[in-house]
Parts: sequence; structure tokens; C-alpha cells
Amino acid sequence: MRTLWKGAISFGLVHIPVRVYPATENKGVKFRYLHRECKTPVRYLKYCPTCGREVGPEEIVNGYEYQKGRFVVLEDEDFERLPAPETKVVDIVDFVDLAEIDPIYFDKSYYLAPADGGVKAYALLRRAMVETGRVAIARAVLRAKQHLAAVRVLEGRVLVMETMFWPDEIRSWAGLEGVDAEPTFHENELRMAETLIGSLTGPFMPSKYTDEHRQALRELIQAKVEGREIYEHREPEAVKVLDLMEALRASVEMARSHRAGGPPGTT
Amino acid sequence: MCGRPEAPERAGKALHHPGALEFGKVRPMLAEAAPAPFDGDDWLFEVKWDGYRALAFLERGADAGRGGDGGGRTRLQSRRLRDLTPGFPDLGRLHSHLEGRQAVVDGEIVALRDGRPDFQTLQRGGRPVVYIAFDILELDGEVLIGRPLAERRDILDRRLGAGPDLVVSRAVLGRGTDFYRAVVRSGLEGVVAKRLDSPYRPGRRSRDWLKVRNVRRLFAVVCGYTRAAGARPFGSLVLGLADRRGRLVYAGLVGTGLDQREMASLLGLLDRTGPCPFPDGEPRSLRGRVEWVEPVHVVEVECLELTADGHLRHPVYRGLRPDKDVADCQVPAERHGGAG
Repeated sequence: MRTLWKGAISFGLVHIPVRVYPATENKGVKFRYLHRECKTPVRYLKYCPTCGREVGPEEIVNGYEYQKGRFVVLEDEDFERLPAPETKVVDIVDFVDLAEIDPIYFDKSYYLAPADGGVKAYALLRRAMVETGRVAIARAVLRAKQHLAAVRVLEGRVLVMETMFWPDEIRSWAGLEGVDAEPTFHENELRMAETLIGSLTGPFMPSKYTDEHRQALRELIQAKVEGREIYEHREPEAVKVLDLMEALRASVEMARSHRAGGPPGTT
Repeated sequence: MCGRPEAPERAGKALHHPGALEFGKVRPMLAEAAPAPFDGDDWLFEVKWDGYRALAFLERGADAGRGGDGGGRTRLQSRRLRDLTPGFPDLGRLHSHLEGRQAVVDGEIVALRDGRPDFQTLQRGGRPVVYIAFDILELDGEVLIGRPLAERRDILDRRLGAGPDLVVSRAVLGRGTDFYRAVVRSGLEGVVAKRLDSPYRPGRRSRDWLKVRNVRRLFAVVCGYTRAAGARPFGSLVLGLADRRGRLVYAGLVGTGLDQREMASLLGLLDRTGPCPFPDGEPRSLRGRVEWVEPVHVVEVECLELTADGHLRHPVYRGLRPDKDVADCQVPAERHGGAG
């Protein structure tokens, strides 16, 4: 598995070096858009309607739309001037019971594995968390963004970090129509529903559930491949020459902006 | 070169069809060599494409522009006025990308591998070949060669489309040095600088067009080969370059990039052995190890740079260049951009 990043868990005075791996993956079937006529993957152009032309990557800046149609522009230097959050540290601040955290807070899951020199401290933290039955609440930095996270022990072996939404990112359900209504129903209706629940109750077995739609889609795709209903696309050489010329131009542009922004004397 | 100017001006504004410039009579404008890259606001810089220079005479048929293409034709003419059309059937429909009835375009026929021109592939008749257009001499009967380059390029961009067989060359304004560095990094042949206000001078080698060759790519004369080592037909090629006084000097050995097949065919070519062709005599390091040949065959090599004593550093063989002669094998005047 590819390491996402290397960092450390900070726990009191202890620093535990860890590697971070993504714990889940999306297996949805991905499609690319083709031009129906020639079956060429379509290309997205970054087009400026004012100048009436395509714009290159070096011509694009970040704009924040603070009001509809009104922007402030943030350049690389602006981002660099921001106070850098403590990078690559999972900073444990509290311990709580897992059951106290509503699942609505959970966003993405990452495995944490001990990195060089961290094996003992990792095992110690894991053991202590198992014994106390607690999960840790931490602040973590992932891809330049600060996250709230829960760190817990999975299957008694591996630490998992669940990144969480910040409380103000959880939307309120107040005002959802019909939620607050208290209609009356017969005692028998309730009994019937409870009986039904009882008869469907059992242990959670994830393997019971599969994505039938995805499976059917994959079978359909496989049948088309086997039926040789296929279109091959090779980038025509002429397009590659255009790309080459574009790359040359971009590197001239980069050399220029580098010189403009960089220390004097750089060539 | 050929000093006699052709007389395309006589055509004036004649609107007869096909065009005013005659196929087989117009020599392309040529560039002078410049020793080093430079910057300049009144210059444009583009890639020096490694292929066959050719003028394309494009004519569209009667139903052109109405979705049809009946009756149109493309003819390709070489630098030396030869008809190249039959040799490049894949380029027979360049006229279909023209917006207009007729045009004469200047450009280069290149064979491509991974989006890069490959001269060896071109020589072997390999595919795909693409025409890279960089100038326009005539459009719909109007001769444009008196107009400044900036205007001609603008017309070219607007009137010539693109296709799998046709690319319009893109240029960079002003920043010749940065552009040259990018070209060297990409392993391309070199840069051509063109003055934006210059007219097109058929058949002239003009200071308005300057070429700066990638210093890492050189032509060298084969002066001999070291004797067989193991299973190889020979060891390495002994290369020579002409110094400023035109004297042939030893430039090093090249063995990398030569496969068995290429070596065998080279050996067949290098049959005229003779005395050591260097006026300075046999290099000491090679004494007794070399079969000397008549210095007539030119090869292209790529190297990191020239060492202080004028030898090629880490040269790699790129192929035989029968289109070049000893005059093309000069010691580079300056060692610019070497480490970039």
C-alpha cells in the first residue's frame, strides 16, 4: 500500500513516528466522456470568455468569490505568508468513549502504522487504549488542511484515524418538514413494526451486502469487451507535437515568472 | 548560396488559379547560423524541426468550403526544387485543412516518434509523418512574401487548420535564451530566430533568420573505427570535427547507440580505408588500434558537452546523415547552455 504521508502521533510528551495509509477506496465504476462520433476522449479546456481563448496553467490564479461576481485574488505568496499549521502531526488532545461520537462526524478513515523507531510506543498506546476502551480525539494535518480526528484501535491490532467534520460543518436538521410531527397510531401498528424488526435482527455481517448495480454494470462492460465492441484511442502524434510546443512555451513562461518572483541573479 | 533571386514579385495581385508562385520554381528562405541563443523583442523563436524542408502548394477543389473536397490537391517541393509529393502519400491531403482556395506554405516534413521529430525514421520511410507549417508565401493568389513575418504568421494561424497530418508551428516572442534552454532539455535539434518585421526572401540565406543548434547535438565526420571487440563488427567510430581553420581534428569515439545491424551496415559503407586524416597525426591514445577511412561520411551524435580539449563527452550515436557533408561538422563556436 502506498504511504500517504509520514508523520507522528503526539501524545503527552511522547512522539510516535507513524506512516499513514488510506483505509478505504471507492470502487464505483468510472467513465470517461468520449466524442460519440470518433470515440476520442474529450478534453476540457480552460477557456476565458473575455479574451476568447484557452488559458494555460501559468495564467491561472486563485480567486475567492466573497460576493457573487466579486473576487479577491490569492497568489502563492499569500498562502506562504499564512501561519503554517503544525505539519504532519496527529496531536492527541482528549480521550472519550467511541459510543459518544455520533457517526455523522466521521469523514474518511486512515490506517496508522508505526514508522522507524515507533514500534514500542505504538504498541504501548494501542494496549493502553484497548485496556481503557477509549478513543483519542486529535487535531491532524492532512494535505495542508487541519482536521478534527478520532484515533481508535481496530480489531485489537491497528490504529485507525477517522477524520471528522468540525461541529459547524454538521448541518442542522431543524426545519426538515414532517420530522417534528407526532401523529397518533394504534398500539397494534407499533407491535407489528417491532416484531418485524425483531425477525430481521442479527449480527452485522458486511459480507452479506454487495453493490448489485455495480456488479451488473461490470458484467455488462465485460460482455462488451469480450464481444470486441471496443474502440482504441491512441494520441495522434500531431497532438503530441502540439503538447511538446505547449510544454516549451510553458517552461519559458515559468522561467520568466521564476525570475520575476525569485531572488535576483537567478537564471 | 544561390544568389540569383527568383522573380515571384511579377505575380503581383494576379488572381488566377492556381497560384502566382510556381511549383518547382520557389526556393525556401534559409537561416544563417548564430553562435549562441539571444533575447530580443523584435524576434520570434521556434523549434528547428529535424526533417525535410518543403514548400506545400495547396489547392482546394471547386466545392471547397461546402463540406466537399473534390478536385483539390497538395504538392510538396523540396529545397532543391524537387517534387517530393510521391514520396509522402500520407501528406497528400494537406489542402483539406486550408481555409481558402489556394496557398503556398513553408514548413518541414518530419517523422514523429513520441511527439518528437526523428530523422532516422524519416529516412527509412517510417511513419507517421506530419507537415509542420511555419510560414505562408501566398494565399488565394495574393503573394505575401513582401509582408512582415508577424503578419504572415497571423494569416497562417488563421487560415491553416490542424489535423493528424498537419501542425502549425508555435513560436515564443522575445525570450530566445529561455526557449533555447527548454529546447535543449527536450533534446530537439535547435532554435530558429526570425525577425518579426522581415519579408520572406526566397532562396536567400538571410540574417533575418538565425538558427542556433542544440550544442548537445552535433554532426561529425567518421574518420575511422577501432577494431572489433568481442562479437561487435568493430569497437567504436573515430569522429572528427573541422576547427575554425577548416582543419580536421580528432573529436572522440562513439560506441553507445550503435547496434549490431547499424554497425554491419556502417562497416559496409566504410570500405575506403586510407591514412589517418588528421593533419596533427594519430592521437596517441589510439595508436595502432584504428582502421582509418576516407573522411566523407557524416553522423549525428548527441553529447553532454565538449571537454576542454575539444572532445565529445559521453557521445551517443544518433544515425548516419547522408544529407550532410564535412562542412556541417564544425567545432561549435561557443559552448553555451551546456549544463542547463
